[in-house]
Amino acid sequence: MLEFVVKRILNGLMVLWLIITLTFMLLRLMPGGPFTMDRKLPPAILKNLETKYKLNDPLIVQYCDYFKGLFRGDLGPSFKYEDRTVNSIIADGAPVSFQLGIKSVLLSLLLGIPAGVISALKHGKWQDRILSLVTVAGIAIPGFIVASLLMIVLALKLNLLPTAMWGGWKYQVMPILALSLGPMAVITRLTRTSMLDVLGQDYIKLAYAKGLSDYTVLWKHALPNSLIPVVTITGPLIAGIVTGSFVIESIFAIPGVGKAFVTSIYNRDYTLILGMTIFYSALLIFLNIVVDIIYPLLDPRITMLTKKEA
Amino acid sequence: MKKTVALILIGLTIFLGGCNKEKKSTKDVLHAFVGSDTESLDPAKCSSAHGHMYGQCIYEPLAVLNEKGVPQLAAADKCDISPDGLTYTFHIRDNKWQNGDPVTAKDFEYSWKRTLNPETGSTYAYMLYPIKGAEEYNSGKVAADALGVKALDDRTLQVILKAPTGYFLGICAHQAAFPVNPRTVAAGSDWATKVETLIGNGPFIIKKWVHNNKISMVKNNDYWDKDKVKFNGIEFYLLDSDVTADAMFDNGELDFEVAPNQSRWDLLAKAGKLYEHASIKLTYYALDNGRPPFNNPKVRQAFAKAIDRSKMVKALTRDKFPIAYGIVPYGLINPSTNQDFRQEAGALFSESVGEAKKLLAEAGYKDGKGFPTVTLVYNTREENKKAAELLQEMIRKNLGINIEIHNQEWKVYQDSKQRRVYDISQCFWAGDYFDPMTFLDLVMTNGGNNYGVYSNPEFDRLLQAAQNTGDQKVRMEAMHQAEKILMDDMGVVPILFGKNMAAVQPKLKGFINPGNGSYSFKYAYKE
Repeated sequence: MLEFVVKRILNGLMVLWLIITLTFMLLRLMPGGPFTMDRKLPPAILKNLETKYKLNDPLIVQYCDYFKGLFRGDLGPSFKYEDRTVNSIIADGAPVSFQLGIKSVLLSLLLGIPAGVISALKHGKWQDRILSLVTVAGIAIPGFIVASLLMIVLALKLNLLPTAMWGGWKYQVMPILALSLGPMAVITRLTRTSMLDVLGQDYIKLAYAKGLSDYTVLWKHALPNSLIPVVTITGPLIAGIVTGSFVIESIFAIPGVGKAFVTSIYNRDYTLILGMTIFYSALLIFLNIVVDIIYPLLDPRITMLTKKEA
Repeated sequence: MKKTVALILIGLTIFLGGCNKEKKSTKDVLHAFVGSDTESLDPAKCSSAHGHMYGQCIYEPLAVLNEKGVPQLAAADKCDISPDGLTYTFHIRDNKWQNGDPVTAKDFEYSWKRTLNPETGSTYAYMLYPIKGAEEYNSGKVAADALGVKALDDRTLQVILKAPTGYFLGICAHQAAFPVNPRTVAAGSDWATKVETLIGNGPFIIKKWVHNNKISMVKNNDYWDKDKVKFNGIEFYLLDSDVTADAMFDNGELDFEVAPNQSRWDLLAKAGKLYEHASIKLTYYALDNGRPPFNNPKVRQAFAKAIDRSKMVKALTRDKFPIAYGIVPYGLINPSTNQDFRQEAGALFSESVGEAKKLLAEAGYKDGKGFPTVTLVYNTREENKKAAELLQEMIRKNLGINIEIHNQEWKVYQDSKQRRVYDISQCFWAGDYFDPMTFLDLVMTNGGNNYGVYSNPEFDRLLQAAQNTGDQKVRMEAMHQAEKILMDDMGVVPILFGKNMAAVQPKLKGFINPGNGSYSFKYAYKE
């Protein structure tokens, strides 16, 4: 187990290095730079800025400098947000995005899995039909439309919640709902399909033949196996929600890190782009490793890669 | 069971119904949206218009602009200008920094030197170039003490200019000239990122800054003009989504919202909540004067005359923005005549499809035959797309010329414009200060923002004359002549001028727009 984890971590670091290098190169290929503005800067000022951020050094020097900083845990200064470091920008925004993201994921799982189970158990009946309708809508309708609709109905018309901003639970209801609806629908459908598949298996028939109760069959045998596909997507789902909630954060003026991810590209803020890429990639890699560790707990047939395999 | 559910639902509704009491605006606090988060509140490093607006609550420069864009003394209470227009002597008013330090002339000397210091990397440092030695210091050619800014004592600031600059007092109102407290700046390089060290000398103190969320300010009760400041606090909502801003305004959570969506203008106007004001902004097309086919002035003139600007204004701005028949917008006063520069100049050319066709034929492209397909670039935005498509259609219909339109992402578009990749570039300019020079010097030969590379020595000569005299009568006359030459040559093709639009709750009064959208809430109040 330890060997497996270590191997995966080393693998992950390799992937991370590759991502950083590729991103670094691609950034310099993009037309326009951090100081390209609507008014052409006087050459003296442009030179001052480029010197300040060492953009005039040879690329390989900039590359090595960046990695030197990385080993110290320093992601560098932002080129756009003067006097702020990438570390501080991520530190400011990430906790908020995490909060929003984790709560959304939890809600998607808490409602999505049971909905999928009900759908599977009652498949063909009216419960299944209604849930299917709702999930199709949930997958098809983009999150920002849901967000705007919620804002208009709950805040503007019914005056139940504040329009935007971030704070206590009142401010969190709409963003979490908007962010979780899509994934909830996906999880519902995935659970339903998976459960239906599992329920048709021979060992389930055997369990019933042995006289086990519905409850036992469901909880101890059917559910754990049905959850495997759900677990698979939960990793990337968390990563996606946590950092991809840009639109929702933008609509509700939530001080998260999503905005930094997207506007940094628009601003050609090289260090912030790299920092966000590292953050997102590391998160994704980490979650994938966690998912791989959880698999065998659900299904002992899935074993971790050992020396014998591969 | 059903009864229980019903009771629970009723209970919930009652509970939730009483929930959203707060966040509706109160009388003594302003809730405003003027833009998103700013990259910095250090005046030397901030380059956004909304950053300037937050900044002018916190910092007070030597002068501020009034409703007509005319500078009024603020941090200074006296200003003597030498007869040759080169030496300005400011007397600094009795006022305190928000940490109790007295505001002195030395603070201004320090701040301006800091802005011009090449190491600071200030993008608006060029605003201070009229000062003697400024450009050289900023380019690293001379040391700081060669700069024509000196604190003669704690209360007296002497500024020596390179040449008499009629609009210099207005420049003192720009954020490049805001003062910063030398002690707080020296204490740490991140002073401007924390509210405890963001010390200003202005009417409001910044209390809280949550990025991408809100800036909270409270009234500075030690400010010299505090009796005229009515609000006890300002909450600036740093919103990225105009849908959200619209919703918050309609919900009464905002007193002031800049640039409401066009689709709401009519509704807002009916409710008496739409604010509009001429703005010193220009939308124009830069035609590449340096190569065929637009190196021929007749072709450029034909192009300009074939455009139906009222159609564009109707389609792009619901017929609200003024049409441009010159490049200097409305809102700039000629001090020697006290008239609006644009109004006294009048329209410098007229539209006429017939004349356009004639000019094109004279240039050798009768009915567009033999005219190459030209390329146009704009930055990706819905309005720009509409404008480009309208233009394409008009030019094709009226002149038989094909334009290939391209849209590019902002920075790519800037890069293309600077490298003259396309024949036509859609351009936009907002004036930096309240003098026609900020528009006219755009197209001086070798100007950094002269994307169409227009060049006329007579035009340059007139502008240089205007830049070297303090006599407003002479300057303004020279600039009028220069603009006429530019429009005769049709060096660039103006389309429309700007307007600031805002949604304002009827109870909000007393805010000031000098004519460039940089709203000041110093004297604002709610009835």
